[in-house]
Amino acid sequence: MSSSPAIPMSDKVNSETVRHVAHLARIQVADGEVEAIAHQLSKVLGFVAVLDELDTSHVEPTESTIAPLSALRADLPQTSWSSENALKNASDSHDGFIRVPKVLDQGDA
Amino acid sequence: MSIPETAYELAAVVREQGVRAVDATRQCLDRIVALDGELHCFLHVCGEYAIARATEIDRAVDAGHDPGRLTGVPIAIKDNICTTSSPTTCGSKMLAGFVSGYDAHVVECLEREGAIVLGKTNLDEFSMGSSAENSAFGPTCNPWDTSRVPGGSSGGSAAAVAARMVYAALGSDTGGSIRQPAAYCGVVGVKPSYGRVSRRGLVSYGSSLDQVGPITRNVRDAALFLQVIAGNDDRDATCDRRAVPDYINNLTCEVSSLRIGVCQELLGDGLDSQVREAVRHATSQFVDAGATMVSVTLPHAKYATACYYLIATAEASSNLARFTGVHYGNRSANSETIEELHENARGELLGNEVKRRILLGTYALSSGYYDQYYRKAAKVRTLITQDFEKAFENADVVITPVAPTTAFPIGDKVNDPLAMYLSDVYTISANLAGVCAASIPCGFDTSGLPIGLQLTAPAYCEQSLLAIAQTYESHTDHHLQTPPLIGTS
Repeated sequence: MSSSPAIPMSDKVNSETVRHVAHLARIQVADGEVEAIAHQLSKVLGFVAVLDELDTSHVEPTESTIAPLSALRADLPQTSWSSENALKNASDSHDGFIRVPKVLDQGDA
Repeated sequence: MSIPETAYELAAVVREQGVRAVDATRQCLDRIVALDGELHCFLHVCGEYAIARATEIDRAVDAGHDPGRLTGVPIAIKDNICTTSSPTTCGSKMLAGFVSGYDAHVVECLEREGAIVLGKTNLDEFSMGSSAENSAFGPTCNPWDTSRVPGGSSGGSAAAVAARMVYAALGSDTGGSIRQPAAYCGVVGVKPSYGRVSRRGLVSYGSSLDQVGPITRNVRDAALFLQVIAGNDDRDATCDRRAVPDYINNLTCEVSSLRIGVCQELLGDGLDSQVREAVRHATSQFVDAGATMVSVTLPHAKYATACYYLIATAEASSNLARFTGVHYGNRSANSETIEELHENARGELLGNEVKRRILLGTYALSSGYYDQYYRKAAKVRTLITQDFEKAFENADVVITPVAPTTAFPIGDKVNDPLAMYLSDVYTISANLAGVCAASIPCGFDTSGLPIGLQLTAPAYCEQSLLAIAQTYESHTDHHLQTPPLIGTS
């Protein structure tokens, strides 16, 4: 069970939180935008704090409204995509692979 | 022979060689050329592809074949549904130029039945918005008043149907994105029950909420299109295997045994008086036709918007993690590390509302906040679902407005995300509960803007939902009105 946050739901989001969340979401946020985003997120969080009015301590959460058995089908081999089709939208590919900047340092390789 | 106005009639006459698919297609393409400079419903028009398809269909008919239930019917597809015939951008710079390697299940279904795809329609970026203003490629205008929004996110689809550029269009609905633009544009929109229609090829936003559905000129055409796209698809694990009933041939209902549920608490504050009056009048029309009005209560409906903006954004933060400029989309120049590559592409190519929702969702799921935000919302979702279960013990259908106002002016809410979110206050509950709902035209305000009536039925009761909608439509002529700008051509 995750620990409860120390601050109440309606508390303001500050610049530091915006930068942290933006990093988690891998979205670059310009310094000049941080304040405005903090303000907008605070406003929305203030709005959703209305849910605090409800006592949900004995309510089960709903993650999906679908019957769980829907997913099952026979597990049979099928033809799949060509790598050419799969790679056609990648902006940088080489020899059947997508090319990205080096992930490991030279010393780790 | 003149070209019929509805998909149902058009398919019939093209099959009987009374009208050529090519002529119907040309008429629609001509209207797109004439009006889309002003309305901007389309992000891509595939005219050559459409004419080639229509020619092929005419040849098949001439050879004695039956191309299907949508023979020769020109349609449009929301640009978050994958097609191989044209790009799929989701209204985002992130996917500018992206061409899918496969067609969405629903597109396969429609083409298999002889429909002709004319192009892809504008939307709020990744379906995040209620006005079609969040498109990276510019807004769509409402055909009834071009200074106003068409609604969103399926604004291009609804406006294209209203402007008679196509007979029908597919939209997607996560919190009202089919029904609200249908209401603003005076056309019919259906959000099927969760699991009724395959989402293979729909670019995901909120996976526990998203559904694809039709936007059409009347209820019969909505039934026809839903008939074609509904049903099992092994490639979507959330698609239900239940048989699809015969919607088209069961569009009548016994009005004397019909129980219409009216929820008084949803007709109070924040609702435009003309919309309220139109909804009340529609209710009385049902009663005059012999239906029984019953009072229902949805005590948690007022929490739906808050609940939705936590659940949908949490799901979006996960779904949109795939857009990094690596597998698809564009990259930002000069990224030294993979992390910079991801951060720069997302920072530069995603729009403000999309970033805002990803950040909100990431926050709601982040360590220490999960219980208080996401899990809390998931519990409130249970209460909202239980409200509907109780309401449907006494009512066959629940009548509400679709939106609190008619179409608002372009630019009115772009700087106030929260005000924009509240335009979905009546539609969001159906997505959270997984039930089916339709928006049908029920009048006009004094400015001549269309008003929509929302009918909500239990999950997998599309047949009765459509029959009830058809019953209302057969007593009214709102759906026959067309925007002044299309003239009488």
